[in-house]
Amino acid sequence: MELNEYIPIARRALSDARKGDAARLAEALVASRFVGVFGEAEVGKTSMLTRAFLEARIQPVRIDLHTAASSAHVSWLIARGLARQVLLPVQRSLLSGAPDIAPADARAGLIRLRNLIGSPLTDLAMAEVPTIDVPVDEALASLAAVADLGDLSVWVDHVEAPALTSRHPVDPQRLLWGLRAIAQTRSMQVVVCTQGVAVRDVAGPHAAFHQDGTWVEVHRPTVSSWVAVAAALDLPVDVSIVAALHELLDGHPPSLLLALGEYGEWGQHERPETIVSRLASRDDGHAGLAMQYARSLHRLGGEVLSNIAAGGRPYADRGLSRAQDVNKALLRLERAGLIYRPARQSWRLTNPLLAIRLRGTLRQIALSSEFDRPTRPRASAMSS
Amino acid sequence: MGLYPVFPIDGPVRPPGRMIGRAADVEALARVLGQEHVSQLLADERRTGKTSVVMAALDEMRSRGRIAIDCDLSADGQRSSRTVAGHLAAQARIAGIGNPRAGRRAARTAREILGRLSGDALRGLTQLLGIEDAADAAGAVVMLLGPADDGATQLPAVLRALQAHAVLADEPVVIFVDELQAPADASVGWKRQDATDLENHLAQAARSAPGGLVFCFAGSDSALRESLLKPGRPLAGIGARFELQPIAYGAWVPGLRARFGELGQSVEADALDAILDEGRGHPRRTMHICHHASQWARPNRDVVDGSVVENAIRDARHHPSWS
Repeated sequence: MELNEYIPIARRALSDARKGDAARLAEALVASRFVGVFGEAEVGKTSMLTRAFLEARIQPVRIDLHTAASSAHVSWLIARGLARQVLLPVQRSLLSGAPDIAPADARAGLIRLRNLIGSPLTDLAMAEVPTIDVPVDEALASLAAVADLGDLSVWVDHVEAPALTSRHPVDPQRLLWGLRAIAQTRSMQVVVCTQGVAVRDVAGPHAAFHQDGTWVEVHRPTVSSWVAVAAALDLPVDVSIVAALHELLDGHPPSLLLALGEYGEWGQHERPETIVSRLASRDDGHAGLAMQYARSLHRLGGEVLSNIAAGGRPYADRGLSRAQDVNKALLRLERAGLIYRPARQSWRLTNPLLAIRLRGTLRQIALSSEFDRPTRPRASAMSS
Repeated sequence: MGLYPVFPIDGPVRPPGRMIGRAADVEALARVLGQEHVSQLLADERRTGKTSVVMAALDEMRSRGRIAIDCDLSADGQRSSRTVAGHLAAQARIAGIGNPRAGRRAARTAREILGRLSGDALRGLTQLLGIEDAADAAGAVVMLLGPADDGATQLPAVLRALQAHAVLADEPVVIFVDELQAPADASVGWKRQDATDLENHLAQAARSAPGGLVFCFAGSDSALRESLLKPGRPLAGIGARFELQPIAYGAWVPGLRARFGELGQSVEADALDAILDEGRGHPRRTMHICHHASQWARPNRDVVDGSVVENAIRDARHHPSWS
């Protein structure tokens, strides 16, 4: 099976195997007016939440801050989401693509939408890209107007994303406070999805949703989930092979999907180590780009990333850099989704294939004395 | 989503009847605002029920015909003194102030009242509204509170109009300002100049000689102490401190039993004590534990016992805001 055919099928199988996670989320969506979903990067939060919304039969207005480059973009996302609440998919499609020949029911829907959210937002909703700048507070006022008519759910995804770019025009805090104010007085649910490192931005002591609602953590799928995926795809693997792959690839969902696909391609006689090595050897420039990205996040980013990949302490410059600089680099890499913290004082790269490419070996080498904890800068080093 | 969650863990508790152990606070607040006309400040840690209590007190005052309007300084459409002015003016119009028809009735009433007002009060009224003849007061109020097509509603003008209405109606207007700390919080999105203007306008209105406005400010205690209420700031010293009373054990027990009862669940006495111990009387913490307990009780024959509460507390502690 070609990769582009295999991946969507495998993803569906994985989603089915994780129905327990989706059920937990669906339960929270039904029970709470504020739901926070968090977990590491690339663990499947968005896909699990998408499935949970379907199971709970809730169609949210989705504001994905990953793609929002400006506040006009946020308004556009809100407008599109509101249009989906009022118009059927086929009506939206006709009104966007061929408004002149749209049937009467579609046009009636458009009039209904205009009466609800006003002409500027309606025009924005029908556009394929944000063509006009409608202020976010106007978009939020329209959310409030629609929420006045009945239950409405708003899903803010990738809350951590704007913080990765300095002076990003989109302020997630401001957006969340605005949504909170609406939810205080109307039947509107707010669902926030973010990486664990950014939860404090949403639920911290001064954050908009402090002490509110229910939080659900999404973890990496277990070995048994992957066994179910392999069975669903009729792959020639047994539990021991799945477990071995799970261990080599840290349970990272995208990497495991690829590895299982290799089994479908190459058959059952390959050892897991061989499969993973083959995957890691396909250098498509990803490793170089990741290092470049890490360096753009912090001057120590590249060094920290490759040291973590090697299994050492984050930075080993024999005390020339301050611990707080190293910590700043770690925080930025974590927010960017490049690394995660499986346990206290322990760091790993999110993508295990990237880790293998950076260190050049399948597994981390044993710690040596060379990788010491960053020490305080020596006086002589400071004065030189 | 139900309209009335059994254990509310997000947003203010509405309607007022769903609050546990707050009836005395609501009554006391409605009295000091609506009858004694003393401005109040509720500054407490977050999620202790400030907004719920104030909204309930406002509801009570409104049911007795008092004019009470509210604004939330963290809301997206209320993050400048101009937008706050527009919001207050709109609320005032909905309440009947600044309504031309109401203005005609008010004008008749005003003429009666004007005859009874002292010279000082009349002078104060004309000064407030910038008019020469006190008989024009009612019309001036309507004009100041009317919608401004060019968006040029000014907060001082709106506050003066509300004051004038209060003098004419011989009844103070209560204004609830929630999330008072929001303008000083960079994450909410106020511009510094707007925040300063708001602070000054509110302080001026609260201290203004003709009176007529009764403020109820609410906000996070720690944030307020670090900003708006520091000695020397315009709003420092305004309003009497209104302390929410701890919810009595005698109110919690029957209240929580009744809530579990709504779900068809019974709760053992020791389990209830364990919930209240861990919740430490904090309303939101207690509700979180009860919310989880109600879920754990389902496979336990709908009985909330010690082991159910142990699991519930463990789950509640996983909440990122738990401290």
